[in-house]
Amino acid sequence: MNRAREELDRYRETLEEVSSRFVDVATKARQRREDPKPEPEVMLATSIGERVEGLLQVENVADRLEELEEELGDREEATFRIVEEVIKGELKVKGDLPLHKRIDYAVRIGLAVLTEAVVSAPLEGIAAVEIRERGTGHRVVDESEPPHEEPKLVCTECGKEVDPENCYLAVKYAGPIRAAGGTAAALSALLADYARQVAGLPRFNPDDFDHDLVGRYVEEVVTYLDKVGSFQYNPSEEEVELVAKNIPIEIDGEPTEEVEVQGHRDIPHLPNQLRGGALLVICEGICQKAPKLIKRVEKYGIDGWEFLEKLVNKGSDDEEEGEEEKTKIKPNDKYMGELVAGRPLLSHPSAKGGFRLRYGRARNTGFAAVGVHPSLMYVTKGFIVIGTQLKVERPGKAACVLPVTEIEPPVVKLRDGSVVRLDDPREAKELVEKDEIEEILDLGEMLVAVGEFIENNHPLVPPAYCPEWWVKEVPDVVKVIGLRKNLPNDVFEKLKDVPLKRLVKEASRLSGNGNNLDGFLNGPVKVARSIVELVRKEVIPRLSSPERMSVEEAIELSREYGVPFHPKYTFLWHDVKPKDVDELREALEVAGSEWGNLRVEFENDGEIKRILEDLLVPHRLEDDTIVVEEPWASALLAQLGYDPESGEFREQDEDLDYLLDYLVIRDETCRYVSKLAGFPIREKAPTRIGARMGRPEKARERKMSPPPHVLFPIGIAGGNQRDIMKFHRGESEDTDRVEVCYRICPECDRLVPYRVCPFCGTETVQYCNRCDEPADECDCEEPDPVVRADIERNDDPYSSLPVRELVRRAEEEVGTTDTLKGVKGMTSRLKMPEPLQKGILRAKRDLFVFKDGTLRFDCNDCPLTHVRLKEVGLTPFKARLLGFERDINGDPVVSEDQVVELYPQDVVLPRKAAEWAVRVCQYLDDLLRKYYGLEPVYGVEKPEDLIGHLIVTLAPHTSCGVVGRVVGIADINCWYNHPIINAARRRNCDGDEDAFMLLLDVLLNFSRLYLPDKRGGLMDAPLVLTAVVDPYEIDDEVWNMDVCGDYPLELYRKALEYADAGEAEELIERLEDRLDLPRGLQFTHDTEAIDLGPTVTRYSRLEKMEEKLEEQLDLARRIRAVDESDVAKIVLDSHFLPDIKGNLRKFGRQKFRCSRCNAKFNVPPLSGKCPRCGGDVLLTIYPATATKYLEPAKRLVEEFGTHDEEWRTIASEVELLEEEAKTLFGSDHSVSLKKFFGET
Amino acid sequence: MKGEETKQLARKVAEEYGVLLTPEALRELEDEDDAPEVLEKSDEVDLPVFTAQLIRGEVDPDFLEGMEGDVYEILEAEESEEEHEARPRAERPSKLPPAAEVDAEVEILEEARSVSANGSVEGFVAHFRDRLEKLRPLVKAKLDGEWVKDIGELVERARREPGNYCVAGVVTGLRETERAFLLDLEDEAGKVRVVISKPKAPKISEKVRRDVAPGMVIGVKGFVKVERGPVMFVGDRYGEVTLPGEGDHKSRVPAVEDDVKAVFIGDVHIGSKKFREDLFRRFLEWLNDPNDPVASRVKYVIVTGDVVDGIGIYPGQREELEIADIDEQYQRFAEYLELLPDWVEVIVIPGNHDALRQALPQPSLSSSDPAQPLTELDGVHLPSNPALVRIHGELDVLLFHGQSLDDIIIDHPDAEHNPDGVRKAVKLCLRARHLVPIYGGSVPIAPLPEDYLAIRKLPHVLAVGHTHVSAVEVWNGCNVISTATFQEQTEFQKKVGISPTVGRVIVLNMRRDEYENPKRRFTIVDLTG
Repeated sequence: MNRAREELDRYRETLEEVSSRFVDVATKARQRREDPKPEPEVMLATSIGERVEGLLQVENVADRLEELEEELGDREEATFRIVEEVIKGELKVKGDLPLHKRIDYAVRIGLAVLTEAVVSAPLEGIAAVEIRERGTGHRVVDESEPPHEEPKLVCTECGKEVDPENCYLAVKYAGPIRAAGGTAAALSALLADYARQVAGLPRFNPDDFDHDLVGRYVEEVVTYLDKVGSFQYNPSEEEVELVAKNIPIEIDGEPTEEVEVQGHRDIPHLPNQLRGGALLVICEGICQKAPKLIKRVEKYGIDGWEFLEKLVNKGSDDEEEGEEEKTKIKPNDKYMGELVAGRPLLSHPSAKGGFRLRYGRARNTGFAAVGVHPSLMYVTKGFIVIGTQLKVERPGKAACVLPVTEIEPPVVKLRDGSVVRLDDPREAKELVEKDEIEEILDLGEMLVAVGEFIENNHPLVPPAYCPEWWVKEVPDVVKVIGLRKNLPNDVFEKLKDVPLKRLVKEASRLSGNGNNLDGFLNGPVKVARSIVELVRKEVIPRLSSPERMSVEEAIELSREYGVPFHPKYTFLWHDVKPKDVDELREALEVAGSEWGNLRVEFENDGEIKRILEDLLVPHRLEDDTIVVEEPWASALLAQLGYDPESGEFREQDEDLDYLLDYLVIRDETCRYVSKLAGFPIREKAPTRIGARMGRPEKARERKMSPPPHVLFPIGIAGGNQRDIMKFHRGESEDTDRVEVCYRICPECDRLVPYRVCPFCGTETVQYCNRCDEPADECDCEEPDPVVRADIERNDDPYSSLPVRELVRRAEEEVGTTDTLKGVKGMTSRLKMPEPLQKGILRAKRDLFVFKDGTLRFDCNDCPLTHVRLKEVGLTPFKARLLGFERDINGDPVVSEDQVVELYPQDVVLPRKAAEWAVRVCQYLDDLLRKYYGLEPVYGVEKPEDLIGHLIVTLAPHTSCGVVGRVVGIADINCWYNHPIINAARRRNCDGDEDAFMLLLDVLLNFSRLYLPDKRGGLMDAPLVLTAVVDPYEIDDEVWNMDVCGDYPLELYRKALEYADAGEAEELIERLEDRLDLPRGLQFTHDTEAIDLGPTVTRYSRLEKMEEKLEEQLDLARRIRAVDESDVAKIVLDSHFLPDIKGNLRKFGRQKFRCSRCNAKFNVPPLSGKCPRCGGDVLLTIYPATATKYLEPAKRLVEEFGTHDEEWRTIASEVELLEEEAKTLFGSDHSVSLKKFFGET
Repeated sequence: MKGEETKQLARKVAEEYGVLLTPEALRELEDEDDAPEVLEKSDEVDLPVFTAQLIRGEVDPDFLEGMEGDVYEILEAEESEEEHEARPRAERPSKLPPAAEVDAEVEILEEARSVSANGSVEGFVAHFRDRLEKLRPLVKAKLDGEWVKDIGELVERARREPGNYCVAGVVTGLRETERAFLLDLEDEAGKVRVVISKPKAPKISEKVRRDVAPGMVIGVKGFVKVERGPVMFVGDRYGEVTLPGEGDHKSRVPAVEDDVKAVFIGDVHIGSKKFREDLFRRFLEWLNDPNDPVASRVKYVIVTGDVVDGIGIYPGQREELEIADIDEQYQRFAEYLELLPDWVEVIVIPGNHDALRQALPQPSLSSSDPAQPLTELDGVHLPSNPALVRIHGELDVLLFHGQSLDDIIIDHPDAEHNPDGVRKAVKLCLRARHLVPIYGGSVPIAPLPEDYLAIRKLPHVLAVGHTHVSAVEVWNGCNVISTATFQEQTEFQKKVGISPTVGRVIVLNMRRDEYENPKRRFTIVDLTG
């Protein structure tokens, strides 16, 4: 324990030290050159409070938050206190603020704390928090003099003073509130209401208005669902109405969609468009999270939220309905919605042949990632590969898939009729390559961690019977049976519940002084002891490696002790009928007379073959004979109650006959077979999980389109490519005007749009373009910091941008390049360009810059807690350097085969990313050496050199980077992260993708000044940086990840009873139990290798839509759990038909664009040429685009259509659309369809 | 029996025996060897309608006698036996209604004949050029001032001599800033930026805000000068912005001497669960009533589209359909049409729910496979949407389903989805002289070389449907008619707060004296009462 603590401390110190060393380098560098600020613009934060300060650019929050947390012992409560103190003016976060600003800051700070200050929702998700006048919705501001002790509220519309009693509070949400998540979004409304109460404002009442505000909310939700999309939770109209009527603050929002309401229009203080952010808060926040919200309302005693009760009770009505179903869960087809053409369905909901649920967490699963057998990846023709997202039936909605070898593989039927279990992925690969597989009878097991059920609050469901469960129950079964056989009933009753371990101990103690015991106990205990001895000596050793247990041993154990039959040899009896069992018994012929040396034959009639296929009994065909060989022959015969010595079936007791008949009637085949066999046979696949392919896995450099080398505006002067060099060399005839920041070098006396003049090193001066005065002396209401400058060709030095001179200067310093792609114009507020030197050096390494000045690489997240050194290119030596001194067994690391536990911020990069990162490091070294005149720091030449280096990981929609450490490279097309660093970004592994950058790149090249000046511009930018992750301050979803080495028997029992997931919390160790010291984590299943299996999904490898679809349907035909006609129907309904319709109808109202300058036109220019530059005008939707799915749609109908009514309607729809296309475009265009397919 | 045969037989029987047979009764009769004998029975029953039950002897004639003339109950009884059986279009030999005494005349003056578009930019350009070509003369007639041939000439002239000029063009861009409206006006020869300063041209600004949209043809007068490009400044005192349909256009009052009427309906939505079959049947019964002073004079039934609910029109429609089969939907409509008196002429244009392409103009229903049953009926005309139809030799009716009205209502600052808003929207079409005055909204157009959506001449009637809101107005002598619907308020309409007008029909009294009196021109018949 101590060592673990020390190791972790050392790890954290290293991260911190290295980070601050890099900050020093970057500070030194930036002071020397033209960067927008003379120091790194990313703030290193160590706590939530500091991150809040960095994110919102406020002060005094971190210390106060820490004090309050200490005092109250609860961060959330502290948050409410902070809100209160900010509004009362006791905590000054930005000097003296008027009341409306204090409220605004308070709500944002509150939301920031609740979201761990990682996401940008507090910045971007709240457009404004406004005091408004009752009845009119006019904005009201506090115009009192500092220090604003008594607010003086004034209406901004009419300028009159307003009584606070006549006001209410409104929060105007924006789209990015989505990033906060439902709970935090709902809490933001609660925080705002708390703020309102502290400020002493009355509650919002929709009835104050002349318009029907309540109806407006209802219409908006309805319209959103109809025209835009859906929410995670789609509340009923009554629910929306309930919220709208009772919510004590106004939930307003910016327009996020072009769609407008039709009914409740022209309400003066509201836009006519839909307010996506506001709707999100209502639907996914308040309605969906009402139960969570209500807890807070009660805890903090906030009045006015009593209506939540009704929302919650409404939910519980549904649950009551669910009560009956509790013993059995229903198939759920939600995941099938929006099936995309080309992304295959793997199994219908709970279908026979679908994934068999097995409980467990491998070292590369958990946290919304599940394990499948690598053979499955091949069998699906490589559609499902390492890191592919699956949409699943349960327990959650989506998960990414990873290879795990310690679970059961898929079972397939080959072209020659034989049925094989694909334990060996290499064999699977070969069979697929040779196209030997005719049908995929079963997808094999899916490994799902119990923590997933807890997180999703999904009732436990019975899992596959598996060796780890068997091992837990066998000793106890042997004990109980032994005791029952040998002891009188009353004694048996006393002893049967004593755990085996204690019994062993007691028995040996008592037997030591047996003479002193009274006769009664002596006898039974003696017997008990001998039984226990037997278990210990005979049974337990055999259980040491359950996977390798032979069929003879398994049969012997079961026949001798009546223990459940070993899962490896158990067939799927619940998938056949009792009469099928009888049929098998009647039809079989056996060769051989001892266990382990038998062979079963059947005449090949279709029925028997089907039964064996349903049971998943491996077999092959010899002419017209079905042959089952060992070990399956013995396994099958033992379960059918056959005795090889006598060559007969076991005789059944006569009084059993009645029971057997009963079981036949009830179709309880498993129990029926158990009776025949004479020992229990458990259900092998009681729960099947339906799934389809979601998003493909991904590992790709991020490129804007078109991708620039440098953020430097060149307009159309560089041609279509925006090539600055082309202009520089004079090859481009065009010139242009671009907007840059209006800075003048006082030395050179001309426009130089940098902080420091690159020619003379003088600090430049910012001017206002409105008044032409230096910014410090400008009195304009809205100063304009930007000037429109001609690219060269201008006599006026204040409005011409000396591009050629800047290029020459850069070339002198860092050399030259053939092409240097800039941007058309800058989108930032100040429009300060990047130094060209950076671009040249990037161009040399073929690197493209992102909008914030950094270089990014995107990968899909996959979890990893332990790694085998050789999987990721770690040598034992290097491993020890990185702090991996001992392996999971506590042995010193000396070999590449050992498995070590990762540290919380470790990541494994895909090779592709590593190769890219090598170039980035080289670029950064170039930059230090040639541009900043400093020593290089990386010295990296090959991917393995990256191991140990620090990167910054960043999730989209967030603003807080998290430092990570590279510990290896793997041949995969996604990346492995320790779940803790993943959760620190508020991400899980259900198919999300995140970006990484090199730490020094962020420090040197990122600037807030480059970010786009629009809503959401601050998202996806590393505004603050967490160097060391505190597991208490991460997304608590990961706290539910289980970290134990095995599950207790109790858990399996609970699962059979469909117990609530909450009951499992007590039974297994989760990360939450280890937040203090998140080391020593364990896993239940190992895998041969974390990179075993195909890496690039076939979906991405196939280029043509037609091929993707064809393969998808081919797979549907082959998978037993999928009905191909249904797949075709769903593809048509959810993809093709809407697409064709949409595009056909968009064709006649489309926009147009210029091929040359990319200008957009709503109406086609009547001259036929671009009026701006004379370029050719193009369509934005072509006839071929509109009809590209028509041919495939027709083929689907022809091939898969049936006579059911739905199909007939679909067929008519397709016909009508074809007619529509024909009459719209004439007949020529349908001919060119084929050609279109050929070309795309 | 085919529709035609049925009709003939029915007519024969009606003439000879004075009874009206239900279709099923006719079929029964065919199998009957002694049909005449059976028909004799009709004398025993004093009923104008003879049903299948009667022929089969299932109903005691004595029993029927007690029901004196309550024909419809018997019909309904038979209906429930074999649902929705169509009856032959009937005539009542005893007393012919006035409408049967005059001859009908229907002439399709203009409709979209070529419908296939050239799916290229050139196709769109040609389309808009034709639009300009068609409407430019109207604009020119309306604006006094120094007209130039085109924008090319405008630039030339203004470069030499900045000054006040008039020019027509298509609005290709429209932007509102704090201080001005900025219009891009284009023709084949060039583009001019029109600046309408809000302070200097408050009136014109207001007009632009309310009336002007991308894609419209307008005429502008203003001060033009050329800097980097040509700019036209428009102020209230010296400038003007005009739409082609503005000003006085009085259409000639049609001289109809016969005592005839036309009834306007639309948006029947057969197949929808919300289709009010009862009301539609009542409508047909009403038309068949020889004693009704209005119905008995109806000569023309004009249907503004959406006769069926269609399939695949909006997401999730399948759940809301009573009849999911598109062929059956039209079959059903055809059966209803057969129930119309056969002296009535029917004109049906398609709408967005019909089995045709969505882009305007929509071709004739006769080109739609599922709608074929309609083509087999006598006296049913199926022009395109839109179409200009002359009825009774005098009255020009412009028929348009009205898809564009949604966009206008949403765009227009003070039009809502109610009768008043619909009237405003239709009037904008007339002022802009275009049925889809806003390009790029929710309505797709087919970029045909000829723009069939332009209104070159003001018709006597512009009839639209689509909004499900019934409204009537006379504007500059043109009768604007927005038809009601036979579809109950849908869930969606309920949610967005649209209340449709259900089961109301608008009758235009065409006889000259009635027509000339605005108070007597229309008769509204409410079938729900």
